[in-house]
Amino acid sequence: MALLEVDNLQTHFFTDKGQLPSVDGVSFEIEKGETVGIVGESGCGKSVTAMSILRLIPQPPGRIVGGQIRFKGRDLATMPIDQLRKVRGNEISVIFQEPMTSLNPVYTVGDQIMEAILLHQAVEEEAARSIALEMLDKVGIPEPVISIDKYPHQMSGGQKQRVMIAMALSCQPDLLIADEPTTALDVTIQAQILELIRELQRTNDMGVMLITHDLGVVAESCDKVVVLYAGRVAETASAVDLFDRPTHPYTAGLLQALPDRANPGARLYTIDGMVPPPTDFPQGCRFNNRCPRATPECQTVPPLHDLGDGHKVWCHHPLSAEESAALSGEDA
Amino acid sequence: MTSSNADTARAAELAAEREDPTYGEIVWGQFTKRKMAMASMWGLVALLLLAVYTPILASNKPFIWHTVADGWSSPWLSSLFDRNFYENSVDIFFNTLLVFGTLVSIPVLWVFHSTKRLPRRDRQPRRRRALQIAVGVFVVAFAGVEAFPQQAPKTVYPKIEQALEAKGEAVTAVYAPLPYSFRDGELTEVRKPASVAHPLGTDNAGRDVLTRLIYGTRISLTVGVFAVALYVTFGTIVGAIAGFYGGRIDMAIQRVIEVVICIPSLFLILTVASFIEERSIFHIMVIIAAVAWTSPARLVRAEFLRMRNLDFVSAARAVGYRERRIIFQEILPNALAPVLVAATFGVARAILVESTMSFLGLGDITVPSWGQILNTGRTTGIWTLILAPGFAIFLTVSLLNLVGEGVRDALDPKLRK
Repeated sequence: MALLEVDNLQTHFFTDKGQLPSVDGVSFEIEKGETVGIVGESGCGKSVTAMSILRLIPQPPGRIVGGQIRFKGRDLATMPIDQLRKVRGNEISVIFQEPMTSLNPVYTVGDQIMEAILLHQAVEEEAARSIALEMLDKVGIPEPVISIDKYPHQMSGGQKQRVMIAMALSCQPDLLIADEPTTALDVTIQAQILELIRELQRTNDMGVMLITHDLGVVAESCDKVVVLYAGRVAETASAVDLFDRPTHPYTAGLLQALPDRANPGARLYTIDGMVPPPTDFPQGCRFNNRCPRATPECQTVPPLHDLGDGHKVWCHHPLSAEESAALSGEDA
Repeated sequence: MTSSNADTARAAELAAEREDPTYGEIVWGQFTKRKMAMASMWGLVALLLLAVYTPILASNKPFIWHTVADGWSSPWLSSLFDRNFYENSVDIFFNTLLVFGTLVSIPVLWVFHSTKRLPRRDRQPRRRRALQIAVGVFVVAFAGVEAFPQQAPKTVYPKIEQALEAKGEAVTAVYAPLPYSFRDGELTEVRKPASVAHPLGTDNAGRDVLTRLIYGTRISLTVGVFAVALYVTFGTIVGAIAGFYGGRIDMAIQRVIEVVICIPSLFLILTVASFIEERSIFHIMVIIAAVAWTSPARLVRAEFLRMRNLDFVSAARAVGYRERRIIFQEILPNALAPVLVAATFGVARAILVESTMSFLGLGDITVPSWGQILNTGRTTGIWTLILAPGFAIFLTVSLLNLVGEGVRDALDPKLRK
């Protein structure tokens, strides 16, 4: 049994413009100790998927209308709220995208980490403080003894994100959901934060769900990748497989759009258009209005191609092995 | 050993010196830079001290009384908690502050002074603990005084000369600078103009005007602070719930607020007040609070609407906190700045409303509130009874508004100095 099994998750938003299917039938699994990357452009439903797992979608307007989220065999989607609270922060932790606003400005960082520990673990305040100090030291905050009594506004963005990670990992969760943990940070800090998450993952055998739109981050740290487009899974594969053999035209487009070190000065490839808003997702394959390979057939729901080893593609016209090879060869 | 102790002490001092300021310290620093606001704040502190130490300035009970027959006694001290002398709980409250407040403030001030140089982490818990103990002692004392009211028989202590004449024996007595009662007049002293004995004259019942004015400070400050505390608490809770949950709950609460706002508050206050037959000063506070809670409710609601979707609220949910905790411990402390400003202005407004009600004859007639004195002046035409309380109201309301403006500017990051 996988640690987390998301099965046909549907999270819709009920607004004045009607029912918006932001996440519409997403399925994937995360094993213990595994890092799964969720990639896609802005607005494709990455964050909504992540927030749905702990039912953190603002409600109303959002609601999980279908599907199951099985965590260690228990369905989080239908679990009573007081049981869910014991999972939150204890067995599943979240790191948010914006380190600047993710900490409460009126409490010291030490208070915030300690409160999380005191809530879930039967320890005294002094013990909680020493755990907090240890965590701050682990995430590389300089002089934890002094930093623990600082307020968030006295720290830099990178430090705050480290504090968030310390807080998320202080209860040794089994699953970490990291929603673009490095987007707001500069590149040198990015690498440090990812390395930190990997290191803590190794010691705790923790599953990690890494949401990102940065394929570089995926290549560097993920075991498995789920490519989302317009609220649905386009392609899912192991990270190695995805870069070697991109099969969905959308994945191919994303890889082609990466800056090419081989041809400096060449124009970058772009996928025409943007992810449509959930109000006008196209019929059938949702990529059909931007896809270079689209045919009238694409107005119907795309079939599943299973390429083995967990490599699955939902497309009418997937790339052939030669085309993929040509693409990844060109990329390399 | 000694040197290592000195070293740790020195290290702690250094840590305290290079500490970054907290939000409160920044705001306080900003406030102290505004001279008008600071001066007004000291003015309010003076008014508060005046209210607490009123009986020392004005009381018809002698501090010390000695005759051969009676022996030594302190009628003043025993009158402080005497229900027959101070009928009103407001006075009992301030007298408790006078005795117990003074007692507990000495160790508290000492703790604050001695922890000055400690780093924040050591300083804050000690100061908080000291304050908690002090407030605890005071609350217990006040509850005790309220639960076991003393009722001594009424004794009139005559002036020394009169006593000498009457008894023909030696009397030792020390009186307050204003040896008058705020309630019982002397019929020989009716409508006296200002003199050395009565700096502001006397009223139509022979009561010293300055004495009544000083006792009125207690009433006005109490009305202001308690009415505001009452409605800010209620309004904040209502606004927090409306803003946090949104949707139908917010909708319902908003409509109720609109209905309350629609009614002209002065007329509602007057109507309700005229239905209560024995109006005490506490009725007045509740009536003021009942119409004024809408403004903090709306301020807090707006702050909650702004903040409820911020990441730190989602983060608090993700950690597994209960909703009650998220509302009151995570969001509320961030939403209180505008309420603080509104509350300062609210105190001034509540004092004015109470004066208006008393002036119109709908106040508590047993207390010497400023509006009550003003009302007497209106009906009797004694000009000191109009000017003196009028000036007192003007001064207090101005001080409060200046402090309110200072707080508002200090909280506004765009107006940093």
